[in-house]
This record gives sequence, C-alpha cells and structure tokens, in this order.
Amino acid sequence: MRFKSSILVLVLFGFTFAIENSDILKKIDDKRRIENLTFDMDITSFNGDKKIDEYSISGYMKSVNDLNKVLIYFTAPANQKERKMFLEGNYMWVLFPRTKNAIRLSPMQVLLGEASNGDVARTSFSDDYVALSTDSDTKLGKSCLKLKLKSKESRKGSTYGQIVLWVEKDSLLPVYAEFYTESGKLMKLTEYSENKTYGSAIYASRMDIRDANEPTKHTIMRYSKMGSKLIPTNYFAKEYLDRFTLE
Amino acid sequence: MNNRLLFITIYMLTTLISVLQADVYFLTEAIKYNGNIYSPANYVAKDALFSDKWRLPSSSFTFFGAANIGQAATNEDAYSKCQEIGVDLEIGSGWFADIGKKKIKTGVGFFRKPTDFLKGAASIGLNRSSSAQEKLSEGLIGVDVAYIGDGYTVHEIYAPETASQLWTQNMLSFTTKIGDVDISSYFYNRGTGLSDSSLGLNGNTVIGDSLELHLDSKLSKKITQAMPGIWGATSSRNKYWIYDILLGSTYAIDANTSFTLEYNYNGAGLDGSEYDDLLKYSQLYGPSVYNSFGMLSAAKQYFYQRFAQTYPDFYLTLELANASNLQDGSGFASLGFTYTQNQYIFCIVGRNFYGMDLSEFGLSAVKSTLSAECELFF
Repeated sequence: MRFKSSILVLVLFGFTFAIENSDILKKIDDKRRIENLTFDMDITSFNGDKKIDEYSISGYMKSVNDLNKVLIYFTAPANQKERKMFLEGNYMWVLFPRTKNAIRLSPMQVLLGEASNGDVARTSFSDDYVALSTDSDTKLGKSCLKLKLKSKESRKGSTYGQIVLWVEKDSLLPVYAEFYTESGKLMKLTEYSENKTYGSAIYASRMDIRDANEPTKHTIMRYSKMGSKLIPTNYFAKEYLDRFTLE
Repeated sequence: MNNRLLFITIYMLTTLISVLQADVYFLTEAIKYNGNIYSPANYVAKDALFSDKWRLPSSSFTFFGAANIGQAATNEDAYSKCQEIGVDLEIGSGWFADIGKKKIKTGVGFFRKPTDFLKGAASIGLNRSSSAQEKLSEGLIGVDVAYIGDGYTVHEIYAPETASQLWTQNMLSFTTKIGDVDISSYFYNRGTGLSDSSLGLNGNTVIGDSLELHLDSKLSKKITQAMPGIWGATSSRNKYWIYDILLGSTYAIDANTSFTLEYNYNGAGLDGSEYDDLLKYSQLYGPSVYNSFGMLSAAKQYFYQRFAQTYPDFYLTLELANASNLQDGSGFASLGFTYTQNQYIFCIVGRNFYGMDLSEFGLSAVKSTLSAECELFF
C-alpha cells in the first residue's frame, strides 16, 4: 500500500512539474505572440566574414489549428524578386520567379542560408514542443531559465527533435537556443537579441543562427518591420502563390 | 530586320524595361548538325525576352505581360512574339479570374509532365534547353477562373479556337492535400464533343527531411500523330485508352546537393515492330515522321537522371543531366553551369545527343548544342 502511494505521489509530482514547465513555455510564447503577423525581414548568410547571400522578404503568418502557415514574398535581391514560398509546418512549396507552377521541396533543400523553414515560421515553441524540464542558469551574462524541449508526438518530423532554450528570468524573452535532431545531434545555435515591441508583444528582432558543425557559417535574420493584417485563411495555400503580390 | 536594327531595338527595349523594373532574358546558341558545325556567325539563334507584372495600387487588378524578339539565324528576319498579356482579377473572396494570353503549366514531373495539358505553342526543338523552351513558349488566349477554398482549389480554363489556336480547349482541375500528399486531378477536353478527352492525376509528397516522391499520369482516349506506314499523313488512334505515367524522386543529399531520378511509361509511344518501322521510315524519308511525336515521346519507355550541386561561396551551380530512350539506348547528356549575382544570372549549357544511326537521337539532325543564357534584373 505504502509502495503504491509513493508511486502515486511521484506521478502527481512529475505531472505537476510538467504542467508548470508547459505554463512557462506558454508564457514565453504569449509574450511574443502577434495575431495575423506580417513582417519584413532581412536574411544575411556569412561564411566567416564573407557575405554569401542576402535576401529581403515580406511575409504573412497565420496560426491555423496550432500550425503556423506562412506566405513569403522575396523583395531582394533583384534576381530573386517575386520568388514566393508557402510554408506549412515543416513543409515547403516554392514558386520561382518567371515559372508557373509551385514545386514542393524537402526540408533539407533550404533556400535561406543556415535558416530553415522552421526558423522563419517559428513564432511559437509551445505549438510544436513540450517542456521536459526547467532549471536556472546563466547565459551570455544574463540570469536565465533553461528549458529542455522535445517535439510533440503529433509534430514528429519537424525540423528539430529537441531544443534547449534559455530565456531571461525576468522578461521570459529568448536569449539563446540549441537545436538538436531527433537522435540528439546538435545542429544549430541561435542567439536572440535587439528586443523590440509591437503593441503588447515583445520580440527579439535579431537572430544569429550558427551551424554547429561549421561554426564559421552563420545567418542573421533581422525583422525590419512587424505588423498585423488579416488575410483569409484559404489564401494560405500553394495555389495562391501565383496570384500572391505585395500591396 | 538586319543585325544593327535588331541590336538597337533590343537596346531601346532594355532601357525602357529597366525604367519599368521588368526582367530581360537573352539566349544565344551555337548548334552542331550532323557532324558539321555551322559558323556561329551565320547560325547563332538569338532571343530576348521581356516580362513584367504590375499591380494597380489599392486594387485587385494585376497586369502581366511578356514579349520576346529574336532571330533564328543571322541571315533570317527577326521575329517578335507576345507571349503573355492580360489581367488577373480578384473577383470575390477566394475567386480569381485571369483574362488574356497566359502560360499555364501543370504537372509535377521534371523532364516530362504528362498532365501538362495546356503547353501552348512553344519555340520547341532539340536545340533548345528546357528552361529556354519554357521561357520562350507562348501562352494561350482564354479565361482562367479559380476558386481557392479551405483546403482545396478548383480551376477552369477555357481557351477558344482562334486564328493562332487550332482547337477549343477546356481544362477543369481539382487540387487538394490528403495527409502529406498533394493531389491534383484533371479533366481535359479538346475540340467539340468528348471524343478527344483526357483524365489526369498527379501528386507528390515528402518523406523525412530529404526525400521527395512524385507521380504524374494521364489517361487519353485519342491521340493524333503520324504513324508508320502512312508517312506524310497524320491519323488518330482512338480504339483504346492510352496511359502515360511518370514516377520520380528527388533526394536532397544536403542543402546544396540533390539527385533526381524519373521513369516514364509513355503509352502513346510505340514499341516492337511498330517502333522499328518508325525508325526505318524516318531514316528513309527524314525525321519529320519521328518529330511528329515530339522530343522524348516516340518510344514507350524513358529514363531521366539529374544531379545538381550548388557552391554558395562561388555563386555557382553545376548541373548534370541525362535522358535516355530505354528502347534504343539513345539519349542526350547535358552539362550546365549557372553563375548567379544580384543583378544577373549567367548560364552556359552544353548538350550532346548520342545513339546508333537507327535510334531516336541518332536520327536527329542536331548533334550537339551550346547555349548561353543571361538574365538581367532591374
């Protein structure tokens, strides 16, 4: 009897912690959440000090059934102007300039330097991940909470299987993250900085994404503009890409 | 139009287009025929393509247009073509209509697209790379109405018979996503009545991080093409349904390297003694019989492979491709380099056609081509 009670206490104890971890993760997301997000972003990839690629994109993002759907329109460089992409979770369709039908690419065929589709489309951690543990830690000289995240069963196959995320203790804003594959291989390191506000939301406007295997390769994603605009849900589809233009 | 006038016209149009912020595409080619290479001074084809898309501010009107001028050979007259011109209207929530002349591309295959029913008139030939063929093809005059619903899209395209379009064409398509699979189905009809109709189905999906799979297929009741034994005439085979199926996959080895394989069973092609007869007639009377089928279409079985590697540090992409006729072993191999900079893309592609004398590509008058393409962006 005593043994069964101990097990019950342990299960309840673990359950309580899991709820607390999830609450923290949700609070982290709520701080940054902008409904019907529109954004302009500059993406620059480097190999050491050498600039390799530089893109400017505009995007519309909508969360449908906890799945982020994003329409992206390339505005620069000139040779990529009018390239359009539709991201739905981990899936990607691209309509290249001067072509007529969108093609489906695998997640490996990234088109944005070290930045994956998930990096561009991710405004929320709690939609795709559950928090397994929360600890106190110091990162980049800031007092942080360190969360270990694992992808939800329903999101198996997402770009990263596990994430270790550091958020500032007071503000709950992301400071640093390590992204791992399902099997635990470290893939990317991201540093978040230059926090800005839009309405009641606070977000890191600069993300420096570094390849864990080739640290000289890194990509800086910087939001130059944030806003909110209601786009009909059915327009978040690959068939809309041909007609998708910026106003 | 002589060379100087053509050059001045292209120069003036380029200046105008740069003000309008449109794109300009140039293509020039050298072609080797049957062992004799013609002097590029006499036999270099030139094409310049201008295209633009412009949205009327604060409206649901988007105007689009593309035109090209070119010269098939130095001693020939220059030509000009309007490839696309029209307006795209948002006529209601989810409802769109395109009116005018427009290129419409469907299908998921790489080297062949069985469900690409509305190809339009193309500046097609063995001497053109697939990207050049796509860029320089002409659109269809008609109306394209689409409804984008929640999770599905319905398209109806109507292209009436005109002086430049031999038949009235209709295509109705339904596109959706089931699980992780994109699926499109088509009903296509040409001419009057339903005797010249086709059904199409294509789909693709992604497995894991690296593997893409695709299928592109059609079922046609009737085809029109020249047949062995009746050289010089065209006839229809409408006694049975003919299917054309392409299976393919692209594997991304890493972010910069991909490999594509495709197999095509082309039911409209010939095999056995019919195919042998076709080769013999083509050898006797010239390749016009063979050419009536179109490139990579006369035989029943084809195979395609493509390897692409990008070197981001050098702004360079290398592409190796090979298409083979599995019945007679002939085919072509190509090697291309593309150099990309912000304001321009420069691409050079060499293609070599190989095969025995009595084979699809062995019969071709064109033996090898070298093309240079340059796109300028403003």
